[in-house]
Amino acid sequence: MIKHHPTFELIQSFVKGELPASLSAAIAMHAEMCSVCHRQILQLTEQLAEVSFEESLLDRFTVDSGLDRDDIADFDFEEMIASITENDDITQVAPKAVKEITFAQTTYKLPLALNSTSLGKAANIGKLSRSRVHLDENEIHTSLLHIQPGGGVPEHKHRGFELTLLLDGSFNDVNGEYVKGDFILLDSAHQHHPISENGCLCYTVANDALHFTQGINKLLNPLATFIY
Amino acid sequence: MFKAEKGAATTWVYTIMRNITFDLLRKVKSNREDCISDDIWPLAEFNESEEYEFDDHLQNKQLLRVIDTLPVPQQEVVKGFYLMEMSQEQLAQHLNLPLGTIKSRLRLALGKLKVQLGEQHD
Repeated sequence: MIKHHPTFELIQSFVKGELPASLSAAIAMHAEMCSVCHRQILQLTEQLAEVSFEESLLDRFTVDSGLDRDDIADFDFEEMIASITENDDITQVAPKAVKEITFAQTTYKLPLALNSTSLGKAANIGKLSRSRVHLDENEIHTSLLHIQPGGGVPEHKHRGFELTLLLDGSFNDVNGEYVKGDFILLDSAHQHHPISENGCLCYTVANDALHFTQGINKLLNPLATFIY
Repeated sequence: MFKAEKGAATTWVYTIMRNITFDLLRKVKSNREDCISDDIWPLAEFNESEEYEFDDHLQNKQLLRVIDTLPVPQQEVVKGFYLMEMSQEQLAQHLNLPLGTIKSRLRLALGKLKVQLGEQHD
């Protein structure tokens, strides 16, 4: 059961198209797995569409450049519509093929939102594998992170924000268990130490490197850029 | 393509406008020519409709069984038209028969199926 959802404000910005591609894709993937958020998105889209086409707003776009009213009256709409509908051919949209990705001999179906996005080659350290999602958003880095059973990320906190979307499997941290579909957005106030007993695949977005905080793990800080 | 049962036309237009703007802005900002908005906000919500479509395999089985009891010439037409999705013209050509014969066989076959399956399956 999915317990962690994007906030209402985040979903609203998503529907308006205001979020960076990395976060938009994350919310789309979450909605693929979460019918509650999916319905909310459909509803909000309808509302926003209605508001966007209100007359008072459309008035701003009315072009009144001395175009003669008679010219408009002369314009043959019938003919225009006829020429548009003359051809019965319909461009068939090819159904989207589901893409797959393999980490440590396990093959996963990729979410539809990543269908046309290119992925980098997987880099491995211990039980972690990371494949970069090429979205080119400067300081915002997006990756697919795979943790093999028993693996985890040492205690760390974030300088910026870190979004983790669980695509498959589960992991635990001090706040409890996270399952497939959970949308976990953490900011710099949080500190955690996720461990995945049975392995998992995550979609992660971060805008700064992680910062390891505990004892010997501090030596890993150069490695933090690996996960970022 | 616009489908009225999927919601208001404004929603459809809004979705297209938002998606195109999103890709354009990305192109301006990072010089990337990928069009990922259709993946993020798919226009054809096929995953949703598939999810809620209930595939009644029992009814399908019964239908196929009843079709198999039809005379062979009628079976050919029903299977070609409904299962292989050939047009009546294609069937006429394929079976080397006049179009009218195809039409009347189809009508006859449907009449028989209606009797077999009962009136509630209209």
